Order: sequence, then structure tokens, then C-alpha cells
Amino acid sequence: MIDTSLRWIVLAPLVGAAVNGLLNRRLPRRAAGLVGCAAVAVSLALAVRAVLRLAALPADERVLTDTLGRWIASGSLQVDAGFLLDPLSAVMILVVTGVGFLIHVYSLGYMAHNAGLPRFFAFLNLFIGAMLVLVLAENLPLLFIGWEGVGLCSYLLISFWFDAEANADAGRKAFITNRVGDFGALLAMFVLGVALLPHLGPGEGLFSFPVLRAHAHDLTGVATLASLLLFLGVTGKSAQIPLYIWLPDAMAGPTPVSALIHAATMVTAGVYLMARLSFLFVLSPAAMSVVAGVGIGTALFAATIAVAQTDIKKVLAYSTVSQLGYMVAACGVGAFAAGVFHVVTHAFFKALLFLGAGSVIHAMHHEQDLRAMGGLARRLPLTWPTMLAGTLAIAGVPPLAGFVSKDEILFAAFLGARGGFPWLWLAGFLTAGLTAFYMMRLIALAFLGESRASPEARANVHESPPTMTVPLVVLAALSVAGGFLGWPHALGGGARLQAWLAPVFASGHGAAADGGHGSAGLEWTLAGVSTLIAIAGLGLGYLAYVRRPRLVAAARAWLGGRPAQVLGRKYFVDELYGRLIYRPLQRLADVVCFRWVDRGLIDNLLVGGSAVVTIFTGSLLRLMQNGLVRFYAWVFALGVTVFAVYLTFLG
Amino acid sequence: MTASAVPVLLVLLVAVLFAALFLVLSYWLGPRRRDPLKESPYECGIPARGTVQIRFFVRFFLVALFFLIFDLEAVFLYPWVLVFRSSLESGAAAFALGEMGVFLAILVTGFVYVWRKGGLEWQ
Amino acid sequence: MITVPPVNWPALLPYLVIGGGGLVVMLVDAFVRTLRKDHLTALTGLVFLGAAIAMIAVKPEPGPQLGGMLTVQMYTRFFDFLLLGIGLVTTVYGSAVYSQDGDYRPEFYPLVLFAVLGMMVLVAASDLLILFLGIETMSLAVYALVCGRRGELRSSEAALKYLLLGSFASAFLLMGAALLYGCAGGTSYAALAAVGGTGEGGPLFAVGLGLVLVGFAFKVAMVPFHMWTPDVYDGAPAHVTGFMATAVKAAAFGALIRFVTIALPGLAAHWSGLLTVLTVLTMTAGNLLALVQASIKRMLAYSSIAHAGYLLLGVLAILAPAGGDPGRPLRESAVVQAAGSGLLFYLLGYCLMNLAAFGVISQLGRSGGVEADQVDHYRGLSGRQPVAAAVLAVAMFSLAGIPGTVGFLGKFYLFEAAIRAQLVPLAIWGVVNSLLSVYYYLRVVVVMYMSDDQTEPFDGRNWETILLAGCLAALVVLLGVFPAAVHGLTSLAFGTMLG
Repeated sequence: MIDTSLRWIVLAPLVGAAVNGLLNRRLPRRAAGLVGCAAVAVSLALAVRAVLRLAALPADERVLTDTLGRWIASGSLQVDAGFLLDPLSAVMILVVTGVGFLIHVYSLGYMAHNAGLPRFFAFLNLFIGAMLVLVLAENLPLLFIGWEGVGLCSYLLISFWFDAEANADAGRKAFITNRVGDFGALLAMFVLGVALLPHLGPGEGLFSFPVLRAHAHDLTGVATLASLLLFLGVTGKSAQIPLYIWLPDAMAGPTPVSALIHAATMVTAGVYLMARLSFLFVLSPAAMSVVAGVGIGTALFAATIAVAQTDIKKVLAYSTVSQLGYMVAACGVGAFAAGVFHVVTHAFFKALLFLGAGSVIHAMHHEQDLRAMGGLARRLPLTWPTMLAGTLAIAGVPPLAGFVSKDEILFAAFLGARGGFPWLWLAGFLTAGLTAFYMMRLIALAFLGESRASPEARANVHESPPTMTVPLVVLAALSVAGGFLGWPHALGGGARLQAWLAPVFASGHGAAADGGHGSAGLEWTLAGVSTLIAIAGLGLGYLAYVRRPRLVAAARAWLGGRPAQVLGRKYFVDELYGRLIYRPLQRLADVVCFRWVDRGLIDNLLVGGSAVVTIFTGSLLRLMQNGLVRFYAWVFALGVTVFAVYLTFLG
Repeated sequence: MTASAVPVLLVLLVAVLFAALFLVLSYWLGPRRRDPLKESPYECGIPARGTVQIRFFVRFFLVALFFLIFDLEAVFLYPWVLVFRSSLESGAAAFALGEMGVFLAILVTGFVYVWRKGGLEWQ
Repeated sequence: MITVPPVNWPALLPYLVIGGGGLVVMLVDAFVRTLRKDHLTALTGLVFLGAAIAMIAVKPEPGPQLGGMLTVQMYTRFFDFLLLGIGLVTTVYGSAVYSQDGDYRPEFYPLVLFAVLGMMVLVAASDLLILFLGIETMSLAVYALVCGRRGELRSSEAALKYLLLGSFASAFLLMGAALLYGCAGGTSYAALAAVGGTGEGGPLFAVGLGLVLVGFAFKVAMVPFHMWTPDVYDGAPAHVTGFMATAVKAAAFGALIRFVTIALPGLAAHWSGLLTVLTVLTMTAGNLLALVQASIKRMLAYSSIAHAGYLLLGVLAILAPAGGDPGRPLRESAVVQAAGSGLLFYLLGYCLMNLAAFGVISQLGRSGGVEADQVDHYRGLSGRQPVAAAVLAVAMFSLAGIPGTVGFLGKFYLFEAAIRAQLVPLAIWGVVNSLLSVYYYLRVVVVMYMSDDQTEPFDGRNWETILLAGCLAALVVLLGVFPAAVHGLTSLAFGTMLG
């Protein structure tokens, strides 16, 4: 069905961005914020309306389209500028506009004292617009526009306070790392295009998702290559090994940005892409294995790093990387619905945790070091319980949101073992325990115990304004209740989200796609075990950081300084990349490319040489332009003679 | 094509050779005695009273141009007259007359414009 | 015995509106004493709009008119609209310049109208006589326009040079037409095609054709008939230069394309060699000379020569397939179709970007008796007039053929057609040339944006001009991003001409 309101969902934030961006300083601060929030509110309202329309359709016809026109028409390459709303994109737009709106409102309070407020809201609106293009795109090239657009906004917002060199560096790191991934995604697009072109029927757009899906059988030959290249893009955008390194640094941006872009929405674009192209990924068991392995590996790896971080936002950043690993692993075992479910619940609780951390940072006057906090529970009566709700949700305490979606993934991983030992499940299971532990550590260090802040900082601690706390409360409610969206059958629920998404996904490859294949008993058992490890992790954290702080010191003494150092320095991955990639490349660029090729060959020989030759010739020719009509007429006559002689004798 | 051009080329060649021949011959054979009368622009006639490159008042050109334009366009009337006779027979007289009427109307418009703009005033 | 040809008034209506409108404007100027200068601008604008409306409202049966003297079809209508648009833009630019100068030049308006009339006739001509009539009506009006500043020596000198050399070219054109008449026994394109197709013309026919082409070559500024271009473009007031660079060139190319496709489809082999050499020379000389200019108007003059070279590449691509297989009608060749529609698209884009550039140049006004014609006069313009600088920058990017602008796509279509016509070396040479050209176009942008110098005295402002130039620049970008609709149109228009 056609629904022309889809374009307005995308356009509303873009209009907001244009207003804020063009008027900029001429706009009063209050108006800038209002425009920014209103634009997203309009988008949210339209999105809800469109999704209700979609839901009213019969399950197998749930597709709304809106074609703006032909975008590229070049021979057999026909691409429309069009949007497509199906159950998958419906879930995504609700998350993007819903959580996006809350974070916009939060930013009103958080950024109130910043110069450049219109610029901030312009970028934020632009981001929402680009993200909506990404999830609503009807074809790969348009999706790629959104993909690049969110990358650009991410870069702009990480370096929002660009007067500090470190922020600018972090922005560049994010951008460049993402480019490596984007390169893969682009190549994947070309591979798909080349493979599909000979099979294309008349009137079919080359990269359109419905067309790709209908022609999935023609793509079998390139499925592994295309999937792996796409997955390279996913590792960039969704911060997986080996390209996850930019995400922790991205915390240099303002905290609402971290919540919106680097936790709730943009980083899940990779998961969305895999879900969107599930029919392609399931064609290649090899690629699926790689995806699952990398995903769960990232989850475990990042969780261990999170344990040793002292910056409150860095803990959350590694936690995000770890949770993204879960989602990617879910896609890898074919449980796309579970992956998307975790995208949704993670958007709720991680946005909540970041905004809560923002509230803490706000209260502490931009102190981010956990070691300088403590005892904030009493001083921040709204932030504290909401943060706690988020923590319990991410730790996987039933029946909160994180428990349900994570359990779905672990269950799928267990079933996906195909007879062997369920390594994937084990790694995920350990990660769950680590997650509970480091989140408890964060809560304990920040909110419990005695304050370690300086006396004057302690005196100034204050709860945030309502613009900030209201979104916290809403997100806390969602984090608590969000799990019931997809409560699995085996545990006596309706699995509504999974049923809603079912028509979109290809059936998984020897894996439990919808959670309906395993026995209820197994699921009960796994859920119980997960709950136990979550509680164990929380308990250990509480014990170590609140009840028996000496335990930590004792453990350190027993282990020696090494493990803490390795974890604190994030396994030296940044240093490793510096040695292995950055420095050799830099030398290559400097000596060969710059000194020999660029300066020697191109600058001196080609540019300089050709410039000398052309300008010399030009100057010679210029002598002929002497301004005398009789000379001009003479040349003219000469030309006529040449014409006549040529045509008479040679022609 | 080349073959048919050979006679043309031959004629050209002969013409050039002849001209050159006589120039050279007169240079060699002609006696040269200089005197002031011979150097003067007009050997027999009224003595020149100045250089040829004198400045004309720009109005001369203007009038000459107007004359040329209107004259040429008036000349156009003559062939029309001849054609008009035959058009009388073919029954297209009204059309032919109308055409000339349009032509003259355009001409008159130009004339009126020049007049109003002061192009005909000798100032 | 004279027979009256049937007169299809609806088809001729636009020409009558423009011609009659010109006369009316002239008379109003001569008789109405209480005239304010914007009255004439408005009246001229109305005439242009009237002609456009006449074309939209009255849709005549396409085909030959007046016994085959003129042809009205979608192809000619495409050019009619383009020329009317250019005429309208030039009128607005001109009246702005004259009001800035405080120098009222009422003859400007009818002259633009008559020039446009001549151009429209020129493109529609299907007979050498009408071709000559059109070319002369256009030329005489433009000679007078070049002399747009009566008191100024440079302007008068330019007009005189243009007049002298133009008459020279017209004489050759006439001579060629006479020779062709002698060989073919008629002056219509169809008669020429009939003789040319059989190859019975002989050398006289070939020379006649050559001389007619010399007439075209002069108007489009093809090397070696280009010598007048820089002097005249430099001497004429900027808005007139803009008119010449766009309208005259578009009309001449419009007529040339029709002439070569209709009158000489079978003759390509005879002169494609010569045209190839001249195309290369035109591109190269234009670009090399543009590199060393300090004056922006001279630079744009040489750039227009270079662009004529790119366009000639398209003409060659039209002729190339016919040369390979003379018996085959052009309309059956996809290469011809691609080259033709590419040419029309390129011309449209070329007109848009040049008009935008000349709009900015003309509105900066005069200081100390000269226009802002040196590249150095544009130092720091972005600081003083950000909009004007942006418009000029867009025009320069487009002229240089930077992607995202219509200039890029125009070149893309042309070079692509040339490659499909197996003119690969020429296409490569064209690309090398457009690389060369980037230097001198971007120099203007660099000067505008990378200098804080605010001492240049040229700071004229005229919102009408800048609004119009801004719209043109917007079109340059728009067509550079969404070319499909317009490219479809040019393709259709060229198709109608092939029949």
C-alpha cells in the first residue's frame, strides 16, 4: 500500500535541522530547543500513525511504500528514491523517534548552558533524519545515504566541543574507522549489483529490498562474499571486533549524543542491516558462523574491559559494545527477531543509563571519574532509582526488559550449537555474569558508600531539572516493562514482537529463529541459570564494592598489577593498531606517497611540468591576439583557404 | 574531383606566372628618372592640398548609412513589381500587396524612429 | 508564376509576437515622452512572456512552414524557449546595469528582441536564404548591442571589429550559398541533401559547403575564426557579453546541428577529418589561452571557445556513424541520438552557468570607468557579497565540470557519445582539456574565498540581478543532480528533428 506520509516522517527532522542550522545564532536559545524537539515530536506522531495503519493490515500484507520519484535512471540501473515501512522498519522508527524525542527533551536541560545550542539541535535533528532515511529506505543506495549521514552526524557531534583537540581526534577516529567498514558495505553493494543485474526483470529496481529478496536464489553464488563484506560494514557501524575501537572514544561527545547515537540508535544500524538482509545472510552458513563468533567474542571481550574502567561513560561505552555483540551474535545464529528485540530493549535501558550518567555528571559539575563519586543515592532522589532500574534491566534480572531479550539470544545460541558443545551460549552466559558485575560496580562506586568528592564539589551536588528527570522516568518505565513486548511462549507469554516481525525474516539456518523450537523445559532451565548468574554477578559486585571493599584490594594484591593494567589499557588494542597499521601506513604515506609520488612525481614533474608547458604555449598563442582587425581578417582568410583547399582536394 | 580541378589550377598558375613575369620585366627594363613632379600624388592635375586621411564629421557616415539602408530596401520594390504583375493573374494579388505593405510598414517604423530620435538633424 | 504558400499562422505566432513586439517597443520609446525606464523593461519582458505563452497555448501541427522555408518542431521550440529565456534574463540584467550607471539606453530593448527573433529564425531555417536572413538579423542587432556604452572607446572598438569581421564571415556564407545554389539548383536543405547524398556535387559543391560552414564557424568561434571573440567579449558590457556567449552560441549551434544532420548526412566523410583537426585546435587553443588571462571576461571568452570545442565533439559524434554507413538514416542510430540529446543538454547547461556568471559580473557595476573585469577585482568577494560569490562559484564549478553540476553531466553525455561513436582519442583529449580548465575556473573561486582583501572598489548590488543569477545557479545544481527529466526532453527534441 502507498502511504505518502512516510516522507514527512523523514522530512520533519530535516526541516528542523535546516531551521536551526540556517538561522543558527539568530535564533533565541529557547526557540532553538523548541524547534528541535517539535520536529522530532512531529516525526514521532506521524510514525505512530503510520505504524497503526500498518498494524491494521493483514499480517502478510504489512508493507507501506512511498516513492518520491526515480532517483537514478542509468540504463539497467534504476533506483527509486522511496521509503518502505514494514514491521521491521516500524519497530525501528518507533525506537528512533520515541527514544530520540526523549533525548531531545533531556538535551534541553543538559545543554542549557552551552553556546552553540542551535548547532547542537541542528546536528541532532539531522541525525534523526538520517537515521530515519536509513531504516525507511526502500533500497540499498538510499540506506547507504542514511548510513553515511548518521556517520557524519556522529562525527560532528563527537567533536561538538571541537576546541579541545582530544574531542576532534575522537571524532576523526570514529569517522576514519567507520570508513573502513563503509568500504566493505559499498563493495558488498557492488557485488550484489553485479550478481543481480543479469537476472533483473523489467521494471525492477536493482537494489530494492523486495527485489533483492525475490531474487535471493540468484544470489547464492555471491552470498558468502557479499555477507562478509556487509559484515565488515557492520563491524564498523555497530562497533564489533576489529573496528570497535572508535566507540569508547566517541564518549568525548555530549552525553545525550552518547545516549542517542552511540547507544540507542546509530550503533544498532549494523544489526538492522543484517536483519534487513536476513535472506542474504542465511544463504551462507559460513558467513553466519563468522557473524556469530565475532558477535559473541566482542560481547565477552568488551565486558571484561568494562570491569576495569574508571570513567563512568567508558564503562557504559564498553557495555554498549558488549551488548551490540549480543545482538550481532543473535543475527549470526539466525535469531534475527531476538536481535531486533534486544535492539529495542537495549535502546530503552542503555539510553536510560547514559542519561542517568549524564544526570550524575551534571550534578557533579562534569566530573566523570567514578573514583571521585560515591554516596550520590541520597542526593539524587530521581536519578538513583531510575539508574538502578536500568542496571537491573541490563543485568538481566527478571522480569525486566534486558532479561527477556538476552534470554532469547542465549536460548537461540544454545539451540544453534547443532550437537556440539554450546560454546556460544557459554560465552554469552559468562558475559551476562560480567555485565551484572560491572554494572553493580558502577552503581556502587557512584551511588553507594561514602562520597569521595572534594568538599566543595560535594556541597554543590544537585538533582537535575525536570526536563532531564522526566525522560529518565519514562525510560525507566520502559526498561522495566519493555520485556513484555516479546515475552516468549515457553515462559507463558505472547511473543508479540516476534510474531509481528516474523514475516520480515528468512527462517534461520539450523537455528532457533523464533524461540519456538526448543522445549519449554529447556527454556525454563536456561532462564533460571541466567537469572542465577545475573544475581550472582550483582551480589559479587555488591560484596566487593560495598560490603567488603578490602576484597578488591586483596584480589589485586593476589593477582599482581598485570591483569588490572591489561584491562585498564583495554588489552593494548589501540597500541597494537598503532604499531601494526597506523605507523607503517604513516611511513608509507610519508615517504612513498608524499615525498616520492606526490611531491616528486606529481607536484614537480606533472603539475609543475605541465603548468610550465601549457602556460608557455598559452603565452605564445597570446602573441597572436594583437588586437589588429587586419591581422584577424588575415587569419580568417587563411582559414577559409585551408577549408577550400581541403574540401577540394582531400575531401 | 582532382582531375577536374587540374585546368583551374593550370589557369591560376599561368596567371600568377604572367603577372610575375611582367613585374620583373618592367623592373629590369624600365628607366627610372626621379623628379619632384613624378613623386607627387597626381602627376598631372590639381596639386594635393593635404593628406588623404582627414576626419569626416560623423554625421556624414550616419546619413550615408541611412541612405544605404533605405535605398537598398527601396531597390527591393523593383523585383516585387515584376512579381506582382504575375500574381495579379494567379489571384494572389491581395497577398502580395499585403506582404509589401508589411515590408513598407516595418521600413516606415524604422524611419519614424530615426526621425523621432533626431537621427536626421544636422547637429 | 507565383503561388502563395499556405500560411500556418499558429506556427508563426511566436515570431510575429517577438518581431511585432520589437517594433512596438521601438515606437513606444520614440513617442511616449513620460516614459520611465522600467516601463520599457516591463514591456520587453511582456513581449518575451507573450511569445512564450503563444508557444505554450497554441500548439501548431509540427512540420515545414511557408513552403519549406522554416521548420517548426519540438527541436526548434526547445531552442525558442531557451532563447526567450536568455533574452528575458539579459533584459533584466541590462536594465539593472543601466539604472546603476544612470545611463539610460532605450535602444537596448528592441535590439534584444530583434536579436532573439533572428536567432529563432536561424534555428528554424530550412533554406539557406532564411538561414542568412536569420543570421543577419541576429548579427546586426548584436553588433549594435556590443556598442552598449556609446562614450566608451573599448566598447566602440569591439563593435567595429565585430562588425567588420562579421561582415567578412557573412560574405563567405553568402558566397557559399551561391555556389551551393549553382550546384544543387535550389537553396533548401532538402535540395542540398539530395545532391550531397549522391556525391554528384563535385568540388564546387564541397567548397560551397565549406564556405557556409565558415559562416557558422565564425559565429560559434571555432579556431581559426575565433580571433574576434576575446576582443569583442572584453569590450562589450558584461550583460551583452553574457548574451553573446549564450544566446548567439546556442542559436548558431542549434542551426549548425540541424544543417549538418539534415543537409549533409551523407557528406560526413568529406569533411570530418578537417572538423576533427579544428575541434582539437578549438578546445586546446581556448583552454591554453584562458589559462594566461588576467581579465575574467577574456577568460570567459576563451572558455567559450573551449566549450565550442567540446560541443563540436558532439557534432562529430553525430556525423561519425553516418560516415561509416552513408546509406543508413541517422535516426536509426542510438549513437546519433545520444550525441544529439547530449549536445542540447550541454547547450542548456552551458547557457545557465554562463548567464549566472555574467549576472554576477554585471551587477558588481563599474568603478573608475571600468567594469569589474579583472580576476583580481574579485578578491574577498565572499566577505562583501556572500550570495554573489556563491553564485559565481557555482557557475565556475559547473564550467569546470565538477560533479554535482550541470556542467559535469553535459560533458559526461557528450564524451560518452563521442566514445560510443568511436572517437576515443578525441574524448580523451576533451577530458584532458577540461582538466586544464579547472585551473583557471577555480582561480576565480580561490580569489573570492581565500582572500580577506576588502579594498576592491567593485561593490555594486542589484537584487533583481542577483536573484535571477541565484535561480540560474540553483538550476545548475538541480539539473546536475536530477538530469533525467530534462535529458529526456532534449532526447525527445532531438528525435523530432531526425524525423
